[in-house]
Amino acid sequence: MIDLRSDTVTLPDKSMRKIIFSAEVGDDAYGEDKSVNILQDYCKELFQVEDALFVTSGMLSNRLAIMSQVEKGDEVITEYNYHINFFDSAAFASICNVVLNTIQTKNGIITCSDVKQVIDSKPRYYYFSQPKLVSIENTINGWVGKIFPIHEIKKLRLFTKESNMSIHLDGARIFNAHVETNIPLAEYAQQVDTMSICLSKGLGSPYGSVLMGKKEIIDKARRYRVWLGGGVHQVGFNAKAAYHAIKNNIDRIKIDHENTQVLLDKLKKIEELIINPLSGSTNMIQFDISNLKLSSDEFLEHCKELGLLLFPWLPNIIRAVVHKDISSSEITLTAQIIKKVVESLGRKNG
Amino acid sequence: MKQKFKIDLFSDTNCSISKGMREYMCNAEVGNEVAGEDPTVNLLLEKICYLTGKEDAVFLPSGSMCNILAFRSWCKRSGDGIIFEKTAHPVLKNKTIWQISKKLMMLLNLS
Repeated sequence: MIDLRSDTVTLPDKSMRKIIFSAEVGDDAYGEDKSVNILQDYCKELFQVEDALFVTSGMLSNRLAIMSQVEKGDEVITEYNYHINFFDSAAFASICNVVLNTIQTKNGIITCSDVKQVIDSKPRYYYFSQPKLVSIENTINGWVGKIFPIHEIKKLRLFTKESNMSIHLDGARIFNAHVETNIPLAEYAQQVDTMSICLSKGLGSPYGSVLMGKKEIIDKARRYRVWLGGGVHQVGFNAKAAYHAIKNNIDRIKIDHENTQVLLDKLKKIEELIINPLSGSTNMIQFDISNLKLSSDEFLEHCKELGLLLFPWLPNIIRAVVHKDISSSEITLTAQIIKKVVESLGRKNG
Repeated sequence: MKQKFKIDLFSDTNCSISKGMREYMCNAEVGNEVAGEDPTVNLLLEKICYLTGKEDAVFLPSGSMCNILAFRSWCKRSGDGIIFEKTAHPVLKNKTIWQISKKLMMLLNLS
């Protein structure tokens, strides 16, 4: 089965299993897990940050970042389609107790003037909700893997500083942006107060995220991590896998982007599909199947029968994500399967 | 592999992982648990349900999370009360979780 539902579905290969097998572990609750400490130290070095914290997942990492920088009832400004709102708004309401003020942009990039506009769109007397943090994402999942331009991040950095606000970067796929732009990872980290990275996407590790920032903030996050039940004892097996992935698999992500381009070129030739023009920015493709006589569920079911899994993003919108377990021959096969489903079953006049 | 140079009686959370268990882990069949597709997790849960006679189970990273989720699932409203013996772990070690689960602690003195 070719699984393009997400880049989170990668499986650990033999070499990663060997690495996990020989991991040195200890009780991380006492700070004694050597593999965790090595990973955190490596991230501090690589991203040039004061402190780094290994956590169970990207969603926990984002929640901890917000909880560690704002008070209950404070406002977090973000874009409607960024992951923290699109998928995780329930947790931000019920666990973090913050208000998400979301901007619906035309191109996925929130600018200083967007932020200023939402700040000024409500009365801000001290007893009302106070805007305290801007949360951005890079690359942007909800905008088909689009890269957030560094010059816009730099402007937001200055603006938030002047406005006495923090800025958080959900860098679940920052490595995809990094290999495409060649901008050093540390430069991305430098422009924000906190940054989260995910080890189990393009890097292909089975588990985990790292939250980074000033020690004062990460110390709070370390405390909240336990509150939320995210303190894990011998978690070094996962940290060792993550360390192996971050040391060896960053450059490999370029192959995913090349494969995405190849797939995109093939899909563009299927004229019934309406391809989202942002497709191929990094490792994602989205297309609209409104022109077909099939519903999303039917379309996905037919693809599955032929050995292909895709992700239903929204009604009639299908997403494909390329990752380390997808070979170039599987890319060719993917295009063939989609073409076959469209031509044999999907045509409205067919 | 970890070499023990001292006797560590700090807690039973600090036991080292044997070669046999490492080998077992190394050969584990895995999948995306978020989509419910990790066969090893599913096998464990099936076994646990069988052992405990419970209808359903969920695999979590920590005991603290287990407790928090249980409290939240049982007591639907902030301010609902939970009765504890005064030395129970959530009372002694996890006081902070009350801020997360927003429940009242009612202590029983059984000594």
